[in-house]
Amino acid sequence: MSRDPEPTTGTPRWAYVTAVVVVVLAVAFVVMHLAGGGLIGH
Amino acid sequence: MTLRVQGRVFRVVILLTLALVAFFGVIVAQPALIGGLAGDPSGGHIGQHFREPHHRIHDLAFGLLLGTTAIGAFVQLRAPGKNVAGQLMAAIPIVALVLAAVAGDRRVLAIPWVAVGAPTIVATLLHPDLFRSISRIRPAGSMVALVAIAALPLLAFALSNIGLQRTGANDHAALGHYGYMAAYALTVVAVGIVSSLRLEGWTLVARIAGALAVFLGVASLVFPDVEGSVGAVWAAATTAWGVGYIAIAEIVRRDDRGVL
Repeated sequence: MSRDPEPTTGTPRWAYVTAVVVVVLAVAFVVMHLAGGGLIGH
Repeated sequence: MTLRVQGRVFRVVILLTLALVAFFGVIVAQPALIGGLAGDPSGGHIGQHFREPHHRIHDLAFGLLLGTTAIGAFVQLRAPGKNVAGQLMAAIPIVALVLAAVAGDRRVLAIPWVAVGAPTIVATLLHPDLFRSISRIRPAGSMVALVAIAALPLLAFALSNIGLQRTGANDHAALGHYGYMAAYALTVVAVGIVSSLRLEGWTLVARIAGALAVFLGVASLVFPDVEGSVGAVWAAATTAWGVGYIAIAEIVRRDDRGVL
């Protein structure tokens, strides 16, 4: 007997891809900023 | 991704967003703490935030931008499905700041809003009910009209500040403050638009849109000579618009519930 599939959110694939890109860009910015002179210089 | 898994991931990202807001709030309130972590130069620099009189309106605007994001994220802790508009509201200041950085210059970029902004955008994209809710928008004509009235002067204000950010050689431009003011004006318009679409949880968003306008108006009246003030006439108009928008939204809300 097969179980009913769990409901999904309907979130499109591009949303997941964009989320990953945002995280990568933000982490890169913070690392470069901190490596380049601490919290000063915004 | 299943609804259950995405709901859990969403909740973790929201908690991360709020933790980062709290972290930066503590740093601003107690700059001496960061001195021990990042070195005295950083601690001394951060200690100037929200404490220099000639930056009052700019600091207030930046605080309110991140405050808007924080409120939008906070309401997701309880019933995200009933606060879809709140999640969009949380993302708006971040998108506005990105636009200001792109249209202005890189001096608008700052670690606090980038660090808070990334999980905010991720949470918005992963909101369990966002994409299903978009088909259920119900624009309120009176609210749309009020936002349209405010949009022209606010967009002009935003463009003016973008110009100052690009060409400015003073400390306000160096700190990205004109970019923050441009983002603030864009945020008032965009939060107004989102609330006028009446997605789930729109009443809080409408009140925030009005309150943001009132804050700008009152700050301009209280500190008329501080950079960022819109002047007495526009301050009165901005305040009146904010109060009027909240009042109209309340009428629409009561009409929704059949009170009137």
